[in-house]
Amino acid sequence: MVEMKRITKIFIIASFIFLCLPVWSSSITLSSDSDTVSVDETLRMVLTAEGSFEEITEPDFNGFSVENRSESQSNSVSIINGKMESKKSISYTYFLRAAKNGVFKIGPAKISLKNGQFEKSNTLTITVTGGGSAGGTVSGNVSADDSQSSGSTLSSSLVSPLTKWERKTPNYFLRAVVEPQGDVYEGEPSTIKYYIFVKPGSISDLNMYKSPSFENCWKEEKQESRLTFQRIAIDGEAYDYGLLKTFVIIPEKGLKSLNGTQMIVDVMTGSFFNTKKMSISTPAMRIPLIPLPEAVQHSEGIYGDFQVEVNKNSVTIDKNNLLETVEYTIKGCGNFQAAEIKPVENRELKIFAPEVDNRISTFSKGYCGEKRYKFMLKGLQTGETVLKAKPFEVFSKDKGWVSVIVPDINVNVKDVTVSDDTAGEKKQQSFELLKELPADMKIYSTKSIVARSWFLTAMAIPFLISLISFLIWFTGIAIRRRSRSFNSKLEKWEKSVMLSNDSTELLNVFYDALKDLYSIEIRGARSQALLKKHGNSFADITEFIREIEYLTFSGTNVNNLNALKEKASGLLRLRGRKK
Amino acid sequence: MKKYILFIILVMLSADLFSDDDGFSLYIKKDYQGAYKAFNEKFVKSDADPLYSYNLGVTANALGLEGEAVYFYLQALQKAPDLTEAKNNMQVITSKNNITVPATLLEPERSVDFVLITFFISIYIFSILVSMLFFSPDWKIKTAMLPVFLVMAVTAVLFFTSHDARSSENWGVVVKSAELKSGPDDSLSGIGNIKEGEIVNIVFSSGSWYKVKSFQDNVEGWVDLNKIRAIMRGYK
Repeated sequence: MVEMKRITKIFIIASFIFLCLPVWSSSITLSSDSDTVSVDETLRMVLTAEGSFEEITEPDFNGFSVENRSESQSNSVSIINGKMESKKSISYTYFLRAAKNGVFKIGPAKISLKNGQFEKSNTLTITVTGGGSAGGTVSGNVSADDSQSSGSTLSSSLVSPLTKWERKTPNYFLRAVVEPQGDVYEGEPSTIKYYIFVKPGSISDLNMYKSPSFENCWKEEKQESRLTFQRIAIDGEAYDYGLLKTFVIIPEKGLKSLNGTQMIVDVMTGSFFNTKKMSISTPAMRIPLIPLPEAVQHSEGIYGDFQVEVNKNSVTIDKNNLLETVEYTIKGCGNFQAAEIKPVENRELKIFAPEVDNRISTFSKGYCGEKRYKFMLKGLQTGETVLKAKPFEVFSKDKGWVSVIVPDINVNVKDVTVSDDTAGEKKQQSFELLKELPADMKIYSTKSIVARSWFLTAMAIPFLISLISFLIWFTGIAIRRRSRSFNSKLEKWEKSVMLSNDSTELLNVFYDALKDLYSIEIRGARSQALLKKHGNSFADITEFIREIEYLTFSGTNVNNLNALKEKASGLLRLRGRKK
Repeated sequence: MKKYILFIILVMLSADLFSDDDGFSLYIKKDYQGAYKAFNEKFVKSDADPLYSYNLGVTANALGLEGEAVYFYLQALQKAPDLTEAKNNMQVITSKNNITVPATLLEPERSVDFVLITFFISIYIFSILVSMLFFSPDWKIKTAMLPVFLVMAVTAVLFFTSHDARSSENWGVVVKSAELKSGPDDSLSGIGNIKEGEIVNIVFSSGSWYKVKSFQDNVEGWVDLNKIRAIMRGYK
């Protein structure tokens, strides 16, 4: 009976352990958001491996280049009907750019299992069509309807319907909005705003992974300090959108198209315990640029609508004012990078390199503001002259070609510096060696201030002051402590002296006290040697010792032992009581 | 014999005294390469003397090395900001090549400012208070130490933070036109160009590559360090 119960117990425990053993099942799948792409277009591919496995072998991406790869991983353990299931899930998200035409097979990917076997994924067949189609690279002048019907990937405004690209991840996507929306001319500043759109509550966090770059362009970048979401409805769906980055781009002269790489953002979805990371991106950007009209006649022309003002129409250079400053201000909107004031060569004036101050911002009209040029002038020859600057031509959509006249400035040179009278003009235009620097010229150092000796000395002095004060204070304390210790020992020996019962004991105590207090060893030493070593100041001690030894060895009773004790104590004290 | 030795010493001394003229005489003879070499030796030995910097600028220009010329003129201005010849010559080159030079590079950086002066005053007062406290421990001294310490700490943080920020800002001049790469390797794709004489901000260096940001058009990319010469900033 007992044996039966035991067998039943073992059976129940074994069954429980068997039921709770993990059930290992593994799978690997490969999926893409499209099976047809155009050359240069990007496509998102996801590799998901689930279950219990050791290693993943990723597939070859023949015919594609990997623009971005992100990884997300999750582990979960669950017990259902007594079965414990342990599940590991890893997914890789790739952004692949199609490099050439053709039909390409991607896969299979593999996972190696714990028992040494392999599990293979499915194989994807991707067809790459055309060359440089509108799929991934569409100009900013595409309207919302166009983008919807033709399957374009770049939106024209915040409220445009979702493009084909955005529909790949309809819960969260990035959108680049380009201003101006019409034709973009060579050298015309464009503002590109990157927004993120998310369905309310669909993501928990996001990280900027890759900022776009623009080839052969001047770029001003503005990162939003704080992401603020606003609600909007697109295609009847509510979205929260926020501005991520703003770029002002001015393409270099001669550039045929404005090319920008993708912006990639990682978004986190799911709960706190089961976070999944996904990468979303904008399509690569290519905005064709229209050459400025009549480019041959206006080869030096630039894009913009500018005016030039001067702060004074006439200046006088005299002995009280040998250097004069004039300021030109370029006002308007357009390509401020190319807009320049170039003074015409003037043999009567020395025109120094300008100080340039930009005060430009992005407005609804475009890239507008002021660019100020401050020139310093010095007279080289007395007389009246005119400071002229080269006019320049500007083109704008509203006004066409306009010549911008730079106002002249009348300069009356009454006095010139002596050196400039003879060599000024020559120096301005010629490159001559200098034998020596002017005597009164101030020379500065390339040594950083913190490496200079005066700085180090000035830093060290307060530390030295504090250190010296501390040492003085510490020495005082040490001396006081030492004297206190000596005095207490002296008092102890004085007491011992006073408690001596006879002359022999008194002598021994006196010897010990001298040894302890002053390190003077009397026992076994010769008096002459002691006198030689310690000088005449020791004479009173040797005399006292002789007196007490005489009395002790002579066998005479010491009648005035107390007087001897007082004398011994006095001798000990005289030699060194410390204050 | 003595006269002979004395003569040799005198000759050697005079050769050393007038060796400054080597570069000049070579330049006059139109041996610009030789003059450049001679001035460069002096420049290195003299810890970037502005006179040699300027003369190197002139010689580099004669050799057609406009990027080098801009670099040496800027280097001269770091130590001698009033050297108008350097400013003028550089302006001729930069205007011709449509290069913008940041105004901050035309003169040395200011290193002594209100924060530094306040820091020094507070550290001296604090050390005096500490010394006084050793000899007469008084609550008045202790009370006075607290605000002085706070001022000292705040100004120290401000000064060293701004000093760190300034010293991490490095400028360079492109001495050879180059293509900017997307990474520190020749095989990587180009993302733009930098022209000779252009001013760049050196963001980062890795091995024999600099990551630079062009002052002209803000394009950022990698370039071989042989194409760039870093400017040693002057300090007022």
